[in-house]
Amino acid sequence: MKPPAGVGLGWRRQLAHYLDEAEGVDFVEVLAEHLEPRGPLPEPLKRLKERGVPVVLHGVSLGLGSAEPPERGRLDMLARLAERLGAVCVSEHLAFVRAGGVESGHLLPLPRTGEMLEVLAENVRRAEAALPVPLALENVASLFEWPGEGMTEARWLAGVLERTGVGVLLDVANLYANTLNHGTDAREVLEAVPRERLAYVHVAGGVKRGGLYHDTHAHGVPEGPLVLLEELVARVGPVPALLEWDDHFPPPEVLGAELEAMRAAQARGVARWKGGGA
Amino acid sequence: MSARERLAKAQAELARALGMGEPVPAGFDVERVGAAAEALGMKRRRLVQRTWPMLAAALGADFARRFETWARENPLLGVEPNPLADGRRFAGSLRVAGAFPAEAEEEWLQFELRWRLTDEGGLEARRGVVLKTARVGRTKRRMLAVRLPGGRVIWWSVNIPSPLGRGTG
Repeated sequence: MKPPAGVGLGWRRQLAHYLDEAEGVDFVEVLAEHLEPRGPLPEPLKRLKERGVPVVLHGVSLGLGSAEPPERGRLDMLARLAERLGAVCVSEHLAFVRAGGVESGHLLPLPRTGEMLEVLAENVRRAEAALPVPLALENVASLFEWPGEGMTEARWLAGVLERTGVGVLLDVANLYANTLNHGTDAREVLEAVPRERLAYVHVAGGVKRGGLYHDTHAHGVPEGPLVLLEELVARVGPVPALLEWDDHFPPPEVLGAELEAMRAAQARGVARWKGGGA
Repeated sequence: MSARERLAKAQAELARALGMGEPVPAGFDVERVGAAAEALGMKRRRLVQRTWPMLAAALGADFARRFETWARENPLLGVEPNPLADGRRFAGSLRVAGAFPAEAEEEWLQFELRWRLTDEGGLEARRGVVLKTARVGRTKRRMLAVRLPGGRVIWWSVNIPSPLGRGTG
């Protein structure tokens, strides 16, 4: 299957009808946790597959940043789904989701230390060995950080790339959230990822609440993530970007306008890209 | 202690602080971790509210308070967190306390006809024919529900004559 390009949309049951009709969606991302590993694939998803729309399988519950190695059963499930979907890659997160028997139901940040990097790299090796397609890992947003003298996010991401063979799913909305909530240097993070390691980009909306930016996937996309997308493209050239919307789904015209805004940011970036020959 | 052991301990402390209201581990920004815990709690509650709409509506303003109190003592379990299962655990706690609203009985029944809660807090689809009776709605109408193999559910209103008779004519 051809690799993702252009602009994509996270596949959700509530968006299945939109995706059936939409012309301007170049690839989709399917949440592994929303599918029955043994049951039939949802019909609208089968139709997208038949239309040749590239599919990425996205997991949220593997917890590759856990102290424990990834569970065999979870990896097998991802592998099976990736094969059934004909997924071009599997993406997961630089996060942990459970510890000491407590399930957080969320992607929790990792301490950005050398020790964490060692454990993560070993977990990633196990995951890569179990998956039939390349693995890409996503930077997460968090309202808090681990204490102590950890690496910067850019250094951490560079460390992940040095120590493993994974690709990067760069979430510019998460990066934007971290610039607002932690003063993360976004430019430095963008510069840490070479084009050949960049799988695709996530864009999502959020909201400011109580002095903090919440990456909700349920509000419109602010200017910030789009500016980061443009900056990234201006630096490395065309990069596929996918919109995540999980809740309070907007009418089709709003969704369409969000996708157009992403396409416009990509175009502005390409126009500035020095490798473009322009 | 190995790197994995040290990490496991630190991550578990943080996960308990976020999900169960235990003390925030030393060094973390208490306010920020609190804000994250609140956001996680809201997300968990909203998901249960959406998968158990009748229960949430029947409890009304009480739903948020009751759910949060219960949730702090009952963190998400170590299988795939599933709001339908999470809500069923919450609903079960209300039944034990005799506080389950009659208006949500049908929703409870719908769950029981299709699913079984596993000991690990996960869901298992029931197979074959399942038969349940319940008193449904404000009028406490007695209903008989049968779930057929394949998943179709048929409901009957059952009129069992009251032993005292109705009216003496």
